[in-house]
Amino acid sequence: MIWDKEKECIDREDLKQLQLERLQSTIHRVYRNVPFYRRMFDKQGIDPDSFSSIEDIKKIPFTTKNDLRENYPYGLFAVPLREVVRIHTSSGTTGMPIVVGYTRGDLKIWSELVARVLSAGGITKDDVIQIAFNYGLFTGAFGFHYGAEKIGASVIPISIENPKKQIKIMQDYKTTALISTPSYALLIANTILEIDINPNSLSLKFGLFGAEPWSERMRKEIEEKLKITATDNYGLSEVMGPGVAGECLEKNGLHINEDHFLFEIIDPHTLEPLEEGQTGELVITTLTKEAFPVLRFRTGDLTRFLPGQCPCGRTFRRIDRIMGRTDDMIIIRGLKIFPSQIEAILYEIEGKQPNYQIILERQSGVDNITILLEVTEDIFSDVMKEQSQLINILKDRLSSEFGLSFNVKLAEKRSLEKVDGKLKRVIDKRN
Amino acid sequence: MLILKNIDVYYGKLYTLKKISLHIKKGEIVALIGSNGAGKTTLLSTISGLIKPSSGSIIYEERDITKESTENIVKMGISQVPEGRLIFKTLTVEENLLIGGYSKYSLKKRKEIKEELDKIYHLFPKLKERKKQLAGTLSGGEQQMLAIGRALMSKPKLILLDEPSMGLAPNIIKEVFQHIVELKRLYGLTVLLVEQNARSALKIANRGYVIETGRIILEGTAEDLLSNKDVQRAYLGRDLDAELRI
Repeated sequence: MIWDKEKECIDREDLKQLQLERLQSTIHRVYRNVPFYRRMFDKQGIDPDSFSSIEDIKKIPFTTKNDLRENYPYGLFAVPLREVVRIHTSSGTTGMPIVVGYTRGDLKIWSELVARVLSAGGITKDDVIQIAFNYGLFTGAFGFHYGAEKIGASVIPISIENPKKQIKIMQDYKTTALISTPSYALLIANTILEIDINPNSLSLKFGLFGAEPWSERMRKEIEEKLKITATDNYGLSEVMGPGVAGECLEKNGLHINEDHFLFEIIDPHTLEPLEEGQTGELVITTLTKEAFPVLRFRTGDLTRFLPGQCPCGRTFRRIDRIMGRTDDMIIIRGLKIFPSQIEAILYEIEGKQPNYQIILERQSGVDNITILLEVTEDIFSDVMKEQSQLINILKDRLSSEFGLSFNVKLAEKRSLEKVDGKLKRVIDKRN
Repeated sequence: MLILKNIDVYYGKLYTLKKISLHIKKGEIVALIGSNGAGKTTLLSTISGLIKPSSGSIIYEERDITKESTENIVKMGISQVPEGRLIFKTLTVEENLLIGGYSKYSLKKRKEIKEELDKIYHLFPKLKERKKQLAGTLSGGEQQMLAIGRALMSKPKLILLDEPSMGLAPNIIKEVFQHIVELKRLYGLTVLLVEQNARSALKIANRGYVIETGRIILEGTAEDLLSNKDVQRAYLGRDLDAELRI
């Protein structure tokens, strides 16, 4: 079903006009209300009255994650705090998270846009939706929650629980749709098989998965194991949360909610815009956000515009599934981890600059992270006991830091995999 | 139906409209709200062709009318009701209405014009009662209805209303706004409504734009604008209706 046919099937010319109007008014509001953007415009000599087409957006410098961090917590808000009715943060694990705010109007639009994505994924008011995202500062759970209520579906805000409890609720409450990360869905699927429940005995029909990269192969696996139709969706707290883009049942890419967001895809090195079909970094400008608007925000996510029109009738452009990150950021079980954070801990314990590699693997749907630590001859020649002691200390320290269990293995000097003579810091074997 | 793209207007050296882009779909009531001097009337007069923009384009029913004369624009179906009504006070009500049909006037069309008059009298029975009266003797509300009726005589598809509530008592304002909704319902008219009385305007509008110092700073559904805190603080003032209900 198409939730808002008038908007989602809008004539492309009308859309361009609407985007221009909204871009112009966003620029005026942002220039007037956000010191960071006013300084940026003034410094670069950009006249806020000089935007006469969508393409003019290229005049504006990019906003980076670092810009957002430097304005922690409320520096980029475009309205006074008393008009903000909700606060979330981006899912940074340690260090400075990015704080985002929503006005009443923002929340209303947010639930509308999530309602579109849910409807595109097959959800109607007759569905019973189990939301297996963490309810908290993370935008995923609340975003889907209010969107699902908007549609009129029955929402089970179960949050993250042990898989068996999820399955029990699925059975007893006759859940028809699961909302989670794809890896968590696979964990549930594998647990169902383990405890010998026939997936056909469940009422599950649909799954909407996002918040981490996944593959077509993984979709097939989830669909087969859970006997559902699985769709991909995309969103990020810095821009809004879920509801930014989502797949329809054609499963051929994610429709962008283009009346509220402007997408660009750039080469992350040259920063030049890329042609349709070429993979690059996604850059997003919000067109209607009131409390936390962003201009040309570099998401760090890699994708491409897909050509052609979708048979579903929606006229919104589509992007391909997110293919990874521009930087080395690791997304594991919905958590974002930077190698530099791991490095800091290794340094702390080893007492010197570590040589290491991070291996990500997926085993029966569960993501595992392994640290290969290169050791010097002296440690290696030490007795086994001391080696295992070091491993245990590292494991404990990493686990308590990130709330995730780590494998640690020692490697001989110069045994780590290199590409063009350079050590490859992260090896992602998950997809 | 109407699309404005990057309209720039200068009054002498004064840059009064800055890259105004907006659109109105057929059958919509769109409110343009903003304080005094924001550029609202200038914008309406630019659409009517009374003021020529220095750059930008105005597309009406897929035709570029940016350089058309006001006369042609009226013939194409855009009719403006000016601020302060500007009726001819020394002419009768009916004469005022006939002037409104001037662009369609010819001897052969007398019957048609008569029918048009009847339709307007049907919509505004008060005007019928007073058709022989001098327009200057009408009350403010009646004068506003006359000004609207006069605009309808050219059989417009799009009507531009400039501050219809100005100088009217609250109960009369209510009546005038009800008539505007009727226009949309009975005539299938599309309406661009300029108002300082933002609340009344947004209550009957589908969508709205907020204009400040010649720039559009906000666009949205009327409902969203009514609940927007910026709009509330700047244009809506206190909502006594709501406060008294509590």
